[in-house]
Amino acid sequence: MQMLPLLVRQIYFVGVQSLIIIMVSGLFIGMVLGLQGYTILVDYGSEQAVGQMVALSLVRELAPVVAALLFAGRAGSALTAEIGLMKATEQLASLEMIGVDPLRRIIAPRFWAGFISLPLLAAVFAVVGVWGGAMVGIEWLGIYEGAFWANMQNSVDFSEDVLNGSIKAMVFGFVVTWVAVFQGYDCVPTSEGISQATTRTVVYSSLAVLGLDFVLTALMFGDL
Amino acid sequence: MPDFRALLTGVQAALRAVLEPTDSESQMTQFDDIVIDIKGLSFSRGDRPIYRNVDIQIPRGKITAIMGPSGTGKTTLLKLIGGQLKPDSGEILLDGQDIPRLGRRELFRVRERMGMLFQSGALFTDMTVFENVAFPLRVHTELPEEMIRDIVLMKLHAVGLRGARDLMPSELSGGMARRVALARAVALDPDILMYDEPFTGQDPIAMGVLVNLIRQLNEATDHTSIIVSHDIQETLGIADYIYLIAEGGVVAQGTPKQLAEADSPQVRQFMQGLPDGPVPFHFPAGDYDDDLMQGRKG
Repeated sequence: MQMLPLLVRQIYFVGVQSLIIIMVSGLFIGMVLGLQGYTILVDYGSEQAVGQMVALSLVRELAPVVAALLFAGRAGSALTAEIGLMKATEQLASLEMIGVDPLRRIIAPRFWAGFISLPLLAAVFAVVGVWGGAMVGIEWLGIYEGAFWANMQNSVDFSEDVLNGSIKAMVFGFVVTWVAVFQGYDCVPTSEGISQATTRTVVYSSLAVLGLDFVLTALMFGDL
Repeated sequence: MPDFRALLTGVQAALRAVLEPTDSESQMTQFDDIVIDIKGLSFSRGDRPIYRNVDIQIPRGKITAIMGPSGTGKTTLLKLIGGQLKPDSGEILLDGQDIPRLGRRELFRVRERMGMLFQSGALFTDMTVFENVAFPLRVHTELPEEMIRDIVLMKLHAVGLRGARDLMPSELSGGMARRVALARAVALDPDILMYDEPFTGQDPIAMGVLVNLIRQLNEATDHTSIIVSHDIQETLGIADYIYLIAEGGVVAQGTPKQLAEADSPQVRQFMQGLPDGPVPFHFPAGDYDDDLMQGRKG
């Protein structure tokens, strides 16, 4: 059985269909960062540093964490419900009886799709967020454009910030999707069981993301 | 002379009456060719035993029915044969291969010989009727697309749903969904076809259609059918041999005729649908009067 078409289909469902919520959230979070950063930094006359602040907060923390939380709510819960319902309607059992391993046919493509999609979604989140911050900072609040971008470019380091942020997003992608497919596959196949499993997916994966974020941050940036 | 002849026919008739039932019984319990041989099967869910040391033989090429009241583990038996559940002890031999001891890969290979019709139909909801039936062919064969199309249309035609090929499972009635599931179950022409409650929840027309389909399919091909059901009339009409299951074991077995004539109270209660008997109407409970009076005291 060809794995690629199944994977592409799932990337569409969990990744592409999450784009809207990720982009809208990224835009607003970037705008809020710009606004809050400006109101604090302008008192010290260093509002040019807003670009640096927006970019570093997004790339290091907010993009991977918030994207993962949104992803757990948008895609993780859907994965759990879908797999749970497949179990309840005996679709998984009938796959087994047809001689197809549901772990390979149903679980694996969904898991890999989530693992691939979340880092990309986090990157989109960061880009849109930076754009939102620039829109508020430069267009509305009148920060000098050259200083805004130059400060950002000078302070954001590829391996320190972008790479570490991407590692975080990959870890979160792994954890969130793992929790989601496990809860679906392991759920009690009744309406109550599916509802509990879906709730558990969102709760467990959100807590895991926040907890792991602290651990990863301590490991990555603890000695800065 | 005429008296002698009358005596002779009388003796012949008496001999036939005495010999025939025992003769056919010994034939049916000692099947010539057994495809599935279950020996000493025990299985429990949690603390509740479902099967206790059960022996069941499924003859090849015949329709065998597993009957019994709800909750006695009939569907569980199909899942045990399909290797989806593992017994606590005992053997389930499919042509000599012990299914519970097969590795994952071998198990999936053995399952290619089996087709199963699930109670709910279990169609894949994200595929059309055509794709559902084509699925086993696409997964297990390298057939070219035109040939897959021909086979799928043949199978759908056999269940009378060639015209419904482009519908989604959500657009089908319960009876149609079960027929599509039947077409999918026979797509690979399996040796063993297992039906899980095929008649439950069907209207009389759909039920008649299914009964005919199951019988025709069994006659047209030489596969073995196992039907799990509690619909007595439909099952008696098509089964060659019946196992009646209750309380963790086989309480009776035989041809439909033998079971219909059996005088054990358990068999009679089930076959005649009596509300009370060895299977009590009431779930185990304390004394009725005490129970009512207790509410007053509280």
